[in-house]
Amino acid sequence: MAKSYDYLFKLLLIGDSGVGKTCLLFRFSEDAFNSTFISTIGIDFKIRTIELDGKKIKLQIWDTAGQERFRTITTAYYRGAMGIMLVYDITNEKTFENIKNWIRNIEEHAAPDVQKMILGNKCDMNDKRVVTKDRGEQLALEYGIRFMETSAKASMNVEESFYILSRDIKAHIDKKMEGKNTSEGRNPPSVIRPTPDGGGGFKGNKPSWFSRCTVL
Amino acid sequence: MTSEFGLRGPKTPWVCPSDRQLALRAKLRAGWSVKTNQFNTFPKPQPLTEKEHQAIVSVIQKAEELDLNEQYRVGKLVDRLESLRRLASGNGITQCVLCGDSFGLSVFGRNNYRCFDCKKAVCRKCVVDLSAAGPSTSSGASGPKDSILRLCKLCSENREFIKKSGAWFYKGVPKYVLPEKKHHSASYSYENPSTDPSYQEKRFVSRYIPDPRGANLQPGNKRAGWYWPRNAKSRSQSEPEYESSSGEEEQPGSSGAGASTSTTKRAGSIVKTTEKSSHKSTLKRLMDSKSSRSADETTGLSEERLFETSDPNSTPGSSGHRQKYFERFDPSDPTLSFADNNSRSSVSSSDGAIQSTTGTQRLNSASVIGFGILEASILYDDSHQALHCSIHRAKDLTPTDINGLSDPYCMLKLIPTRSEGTHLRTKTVHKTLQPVFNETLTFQGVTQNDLARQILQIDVLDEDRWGKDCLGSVQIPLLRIRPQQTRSFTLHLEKARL
Repeated sequence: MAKSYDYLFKLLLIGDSGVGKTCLLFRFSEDAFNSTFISTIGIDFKIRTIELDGKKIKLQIWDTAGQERFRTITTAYYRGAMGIMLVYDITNEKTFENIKNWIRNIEEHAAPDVQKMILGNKCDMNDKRVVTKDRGEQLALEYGIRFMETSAKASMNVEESFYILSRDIKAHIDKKMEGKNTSEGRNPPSVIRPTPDGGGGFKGNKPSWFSRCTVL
Repeated sequence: MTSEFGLRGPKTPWVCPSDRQLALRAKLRAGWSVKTNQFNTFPKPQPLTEKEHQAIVSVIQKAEELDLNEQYRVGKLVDRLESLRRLASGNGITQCVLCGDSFGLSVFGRNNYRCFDCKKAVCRKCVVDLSAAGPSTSSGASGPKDSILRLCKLCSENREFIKKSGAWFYKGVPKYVLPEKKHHSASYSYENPSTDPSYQEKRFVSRYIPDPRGANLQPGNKRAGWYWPRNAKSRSQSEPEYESSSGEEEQPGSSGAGASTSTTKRAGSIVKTTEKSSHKSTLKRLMDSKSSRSADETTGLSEERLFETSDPNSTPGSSGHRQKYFERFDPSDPTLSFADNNSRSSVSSSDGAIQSTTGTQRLNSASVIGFGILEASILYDDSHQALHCSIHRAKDLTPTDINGLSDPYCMLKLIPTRSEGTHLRTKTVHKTLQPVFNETLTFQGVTQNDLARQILQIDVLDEDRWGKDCLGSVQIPLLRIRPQQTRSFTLHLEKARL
């Protein structure tokens, strides 16, 4: 009980193996970077307390192993997560395409009011880029999720992304509590209808997860 | 066909059986599915190595530590909310629901507001404005009326609690551990393992409330520590929370809002022993009256159970027509006092444990007609300047409600009062004339000098929708209270001074 805090948010990092989840977390929690690849064993977490609107928010960020063999362990942590970061590697097409699998995974296992965010990591390696920023944005738009390109190595947008996700969660709480003020449930937020460009290989008329989100 | 998918193929998991095999299978009546014995060709995840296993376990342990801290934090929040709720003394109609100030007739505009969540009247001091735009909690009324959402402090605290504890996410209060400072609760968990082994467990093992949508609901549960504001799908608590909260939050409820102290070890132990004796006597009494649930006494403030235990308290013969007398109650009715004394003497005889430690104020139980008796003990902790007043129970109270029962609670104040608003109250025990409070309330910042000139007044009041009726009151001079010495009192209630 070292420090007092007002909120405890549990975040989760998921994505394919080697996209840099651990590095992102390492950067965020310790502001350091290690380029050697050490595969995460099962799960790990780090703590950092941030301040938003004068409230102290303790972030417990779960780092999961991307490897398939730990899947049973990692999925157990989906349900407790209030925010999930989906991470892919912009130099690796496959990791980007897998994002939709991860999202499906979330829909299956995570809590309904989880806040999500897509991160394209390793954006310092622009020369090796395979996935354009547009495609990432498009994909995020399709699912109605926020998107950011980050680099744990160059410390780009790491801090910001975690702050934004936390802010989203906090806004969600406030909205949720406020929703009780009005007698009826709120209308679902306007659905973001993406124009299909075939970028992620999705069908454009697929409804965003937002439209399916029921307001509690 | 058979050459490609034949049985000989070493790597093919699914094969088409030959005609001969199919014919044989048909005779066996074993169905048509064919499975080979080659299950291991499926990608089977590598089992975790010992090292990996340990790494994961250590992470989980680390997480559990954190969770425990979180549980303490939530416990504190729960406790805070509970004590706030306890301090709420008004009826919410003619008085402010929180501070109990009555509004009277105000000519100059409104001086009371209606809380959005609980729909009760709140005074200007106790209202919190939530602007409709954002949930900024700024007090002080300003701005146009309809765009402002007003909550009483309690409801706004409740909302904060839901936010901060994570209840919004878990659809229920997450596990929590109540703060351990309250000696009352400590004493219970120490002395009880034999009578109620599950109690201790219950105390530390958490109470996770499952999603209320799945559980059966208990509507209108006032006692639970929190609630969803209205319009939430589940207005009420689910069963487990109900049980656990009635079991525990009653007991540790001692100090006022935020006024929690840690007593010295010595003080704690003294309280423990007295509690023990009184508890034992309660138990004994209950055994005597063949109450089957006597072991549950600790969890006992739930209404139904109290009902059960309070009935056999009165002497078996008279209980029937006692009720009748109560219905047309007249304090001067001699028959009533007879019945009263009857039951009282039978009770006090089994109460030797506590009466033997009782101080000078002990009265002859046979000699008094009247408003019932109250058992309390006082402990002054000079190192913390805290006056711990334990209200154990009251007996044979005057019925005020139409059903021949009352909803008693105790209001404690030190007179002459040091400042406004220094009254403490116990919880209300509903529908009984033999309430068991078992609560310790603490006055903070009481100096030795204060003790010499102050009097503790305990009013037993009846909670009512339309205000409060006084069931009796008693005054205890604190002159002879010595530090670190528990004094027990069995007092006869006198006519109210309200």
